[in-house]
Amino acid sequence: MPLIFSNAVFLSALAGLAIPVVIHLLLKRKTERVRFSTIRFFVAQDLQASSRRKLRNLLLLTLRLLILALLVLAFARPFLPTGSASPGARRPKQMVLVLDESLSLQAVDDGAPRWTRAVQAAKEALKRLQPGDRAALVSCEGKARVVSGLAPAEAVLGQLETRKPSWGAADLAEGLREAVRVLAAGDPRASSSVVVVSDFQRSGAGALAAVPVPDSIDIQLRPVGDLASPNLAVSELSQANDAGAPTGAVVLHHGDREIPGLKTEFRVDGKLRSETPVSLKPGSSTHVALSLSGLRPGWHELEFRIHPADALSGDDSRFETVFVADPIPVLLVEGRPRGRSFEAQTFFAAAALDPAFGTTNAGLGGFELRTVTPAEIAAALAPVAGKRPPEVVLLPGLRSVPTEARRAITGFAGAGGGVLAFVGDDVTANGFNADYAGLLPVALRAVESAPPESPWRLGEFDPAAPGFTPFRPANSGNLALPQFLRRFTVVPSEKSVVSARFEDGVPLLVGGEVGRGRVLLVNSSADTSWNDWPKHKTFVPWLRHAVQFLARKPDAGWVRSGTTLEAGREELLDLGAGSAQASLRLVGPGGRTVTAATDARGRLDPGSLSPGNWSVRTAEGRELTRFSVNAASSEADLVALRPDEFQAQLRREPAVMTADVGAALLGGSPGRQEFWRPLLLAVLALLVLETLLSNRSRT
Amino acid sequence: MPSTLALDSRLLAAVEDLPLLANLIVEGFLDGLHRSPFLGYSTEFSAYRAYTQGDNLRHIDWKVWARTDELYVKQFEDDTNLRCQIYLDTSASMDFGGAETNKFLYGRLLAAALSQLMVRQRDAPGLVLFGSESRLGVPAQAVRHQPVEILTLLARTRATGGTRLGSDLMQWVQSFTRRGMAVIISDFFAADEEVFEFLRQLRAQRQEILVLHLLAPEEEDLPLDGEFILEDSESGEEILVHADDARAGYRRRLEEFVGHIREECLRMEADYVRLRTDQPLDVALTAYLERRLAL
Repeated sequence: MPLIFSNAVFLSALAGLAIPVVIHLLLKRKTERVRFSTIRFFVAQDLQASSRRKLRNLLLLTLRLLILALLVLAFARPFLPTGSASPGARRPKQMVLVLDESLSLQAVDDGAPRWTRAVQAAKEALKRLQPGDRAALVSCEGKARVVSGLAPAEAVLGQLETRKPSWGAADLAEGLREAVRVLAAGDPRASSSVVVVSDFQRSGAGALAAVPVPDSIDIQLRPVGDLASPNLAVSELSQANDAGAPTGAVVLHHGDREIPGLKTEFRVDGKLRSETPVSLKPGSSTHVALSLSGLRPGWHELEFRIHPADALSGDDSRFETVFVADPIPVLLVEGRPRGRSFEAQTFFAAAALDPAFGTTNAGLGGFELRTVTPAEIAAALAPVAGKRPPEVVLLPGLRSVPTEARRAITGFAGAGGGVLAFVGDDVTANGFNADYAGLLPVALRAVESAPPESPWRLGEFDPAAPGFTPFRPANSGNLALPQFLRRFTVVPSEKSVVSARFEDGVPLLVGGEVGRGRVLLVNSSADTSWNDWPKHKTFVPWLRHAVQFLARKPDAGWVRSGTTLEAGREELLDLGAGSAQASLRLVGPGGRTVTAATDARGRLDPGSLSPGNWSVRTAEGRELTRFSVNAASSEADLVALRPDEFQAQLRREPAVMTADVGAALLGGSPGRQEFWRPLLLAVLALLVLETLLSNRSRT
Repeated sequence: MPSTLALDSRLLAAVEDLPLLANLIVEGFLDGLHRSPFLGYSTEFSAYRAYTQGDNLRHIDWKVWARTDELYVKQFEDDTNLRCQIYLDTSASMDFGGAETNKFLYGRLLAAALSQLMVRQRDAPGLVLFGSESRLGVPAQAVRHQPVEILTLLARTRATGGTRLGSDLMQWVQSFTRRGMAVIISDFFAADEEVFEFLRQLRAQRQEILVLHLLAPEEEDLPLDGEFILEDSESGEEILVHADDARAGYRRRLEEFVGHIREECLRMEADYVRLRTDQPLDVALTAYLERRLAL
């Protein structure tokens, strides 16, 4: 293929090469003959130096001629025609299609689905490309992904047919970043453009200024939604927590008209639990209180749904899973069974552990209570098929305990059960020490009383000790308020642990271990005969946590929320190391089943699951946990940016030099392989060489 | 030192007469020495004594008479009549240098000035020319017309050929019986063992030696630029030289040569003075006087 010169007229300047040669010849001096006094101080070595000098001078002349010749050639702009393109051919195009696949693309504006419009706009952009042009597809759903790298438009059209809107949120900035990266790796000679097909939700275009977009890239926008479409959404569904938030759902209204009497549904395990109509003013939100009472132990699935007539239906429901733990069976031993209920020794303890004790809702408070007399202890602790045995025995200050009952309690504690014991008026030191020798961690000495005007109060206590963990946060209860009027002087055993003392240092709570079980002695009565602690609100959390500690279930809340994931967001479900490298089945709404595997740390990637409640099961069908997937709540607000607002937020930067050195050196007009840049580079290199050589000659 | 002692081209152009030029130089030189310790070394002042009848009136110190009103005469030691032989190199290599710095011209002028100075000091100057063949030019005599003969010979002499110290010259030197002084004016470019043997012979004959080594500025600086074919002035041999390449080596070898000459002179207790021909003549004249004073 012949070399063509754009400016062939410059080649005539090559005749100028004769000028340095002529100058060289003209200035070349004839070697003079000089008579000198003596030549004895000149040696033959100098003759060799003269020969080298001549050679260097010749080389310098050649270098300078070469520099001139290369400069002339560079100005003549030689090039080779490449491919089929002729010198006047157009530049090829490379286009990246950034397709918004977020939840908001499921919206319907005046009967026109946004997604249909988006696909149509994308196809039209692709069809404008000509043979030789290339296109790529970047999807924006959660994390932006390159669906198809630069390829002929037909290939991207095929990929487009398989796309559909997701349930996640879009990040158009990330999509742009990916598009710029794809173009940077493409052909530097091609004209580059990015076509963004989106509804341009404001929430999805927040970080545009963080993405540098070279000026050389043409950004074209294809809006497929209205600037503002009315939409209602359920943004939150949560159950009661320790912070005091009640169970409920939040409904958002992104519209300009008041919505009266919006129908809401709350379903538990698919069964309608409540229907609450709500009214919403424009741009407002409302909280709908929900009740979870009466849930039996085990997993439950919650769903809250609204039925509005709005643009987007994908955000009209919200899902949640809860786990109701089995209650802790507690055996209350009552020494005064025949009295009125509030005169019973265990009255306050029973009320604190299960306020619904004795009613049909009993046991839903996390503790399953059973009251027996001392004579019934042994039978109550004996294992019965099909019935859960007690995990904690609460002993108020009993006058006496039958021998078989003492043995049963000791055996119960040794086998891992918990014992919570109080003292009181019915307790004598000798009898107590004899009955519970080897079981309780103290020996009683004598009863002592405080003057009514100066009762004892709780002094020092260990915040990490059983029962006191709820009081760690500030202002979580004043334990110094309860007054104590009577107590025993006690001698703790060697292995016991005193977790709380009166102000004067006498132990109030003494713990210990018997076999595999735990015991805890309270040096006061379980009722209000020796103190008024049961009447203070600190008594309830203390007692409940103390019983949980004794049952070795310290963190067992009566109801616990399952994991909630947001669709489209990269989150892992942690199933624990026990489920590492396991093949699992995910069973979702309508019985839909998806298989998944955990990694080496027992984490599961749920992938792109549709909103709903999902159950994680082993291959054998054993349920491990449940979790819920909800649509991205940030997609609910359908207010969009205008194209000019979007363009204004872009961070435009001057185009940077391509990393393709070959293309940068030999690139140029389409269809040409230009050589003027390498020629100039060669001139620069020769100039450096000439400088070095001429300086060396002068030394 | 007075600037009149400098050998400048204008002076040389204006005064073509070598004797007159030498006389001018010596007069100027001696005028500059009126406070110098060299004055009157040949007729040494000894002491004052009272005037007696018959004493030469020229020896009366009139300044002392003016102060003391007494007549005193200055008493001098006898004239020395030292034989001072000037040896001038007339080889072709001496005829080198520019119009103002030609070594042979400088050498001849120096020899003339020295002979004038020696006669003024009542010494007996003589001249020996050595070149392609050595010859005794003017024998050393303390006569009044001696400088005229020396200057006449110098004016006729041309530098040509190589350097040769013949056996006749050696034998003549061996005939010296009186103590004397030898002033050698040469570039020593033909220096070989024969030259040093000649100097040793002079030394052996109780001759105090003053070596005046002449070098032209063109020889020291090599002010050439470019490529040249250099022709040796004595042998006619040629060599191709690029001055830029050769300069450093040439200067080093020239200095080594000069150092060798100086070492040989010092070894035989001869005084050595390196002279550039653009230097004033008084450097050489002062060296002569210093040497003469030491005798």
